[in-house]
Amino acid sequence: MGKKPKIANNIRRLRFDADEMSQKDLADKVGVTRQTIAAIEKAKYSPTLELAFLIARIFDRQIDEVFTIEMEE
Amino acid sequence: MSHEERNTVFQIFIGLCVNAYIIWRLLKLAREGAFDSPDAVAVWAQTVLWIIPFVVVFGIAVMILGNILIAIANRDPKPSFVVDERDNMITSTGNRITVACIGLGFMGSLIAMAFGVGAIGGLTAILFSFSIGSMLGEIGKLVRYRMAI
Repeated sequence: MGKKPKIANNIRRLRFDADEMSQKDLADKVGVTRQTIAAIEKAKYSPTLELAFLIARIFDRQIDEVFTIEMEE
Repeated sequence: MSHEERNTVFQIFIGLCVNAYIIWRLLKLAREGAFDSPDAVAVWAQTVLWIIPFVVVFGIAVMILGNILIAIANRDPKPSFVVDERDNMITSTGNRITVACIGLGFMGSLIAMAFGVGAIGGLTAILFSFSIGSMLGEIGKLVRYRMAI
């Protein structure tokens, strides 16, 4: 069996740096529910490429500064 | 709880009520001997045809009333109705479960009828594969929503 990729992110830290932006505020800006942002932060849900780009744009970052891929067993 | 997750809970409640009602209605007809008459299939079909609009109206009423009551309880004059990509992904999981149940129910009823079960029994198995499959799909969706917490 190959390794399973896991999409990690630092959205929580970026929100904190962005004047403690709430999950709800970020969700409203990118057009998703607060629960989806919470699931992404906990790496329980991997966003589509479109949503990942939108989130990176909100923080004025490149996508690889927000999301990283990790290989786990 | 998001709008779609809340609707999933309402759908499970609707599914429980609908299945209970169908069981009660068909058992009542069976006890009255309606399925022993020569026009049993027609009686069965007429009963189910009446159940379908009832289910649709009941479902819409529960969804509307439920959402109004939740908005009042949360004191939220502008509840969010956002449906996003994660909701769509979870919905497709539920749909797969529902379709699998319908397929299994259909195959099961065909096999049962091939081995001598009557038309009423086969049709009832197909009916329940739809109604129970739909409810199981919603339960599957709720499990996926809860897994992300």
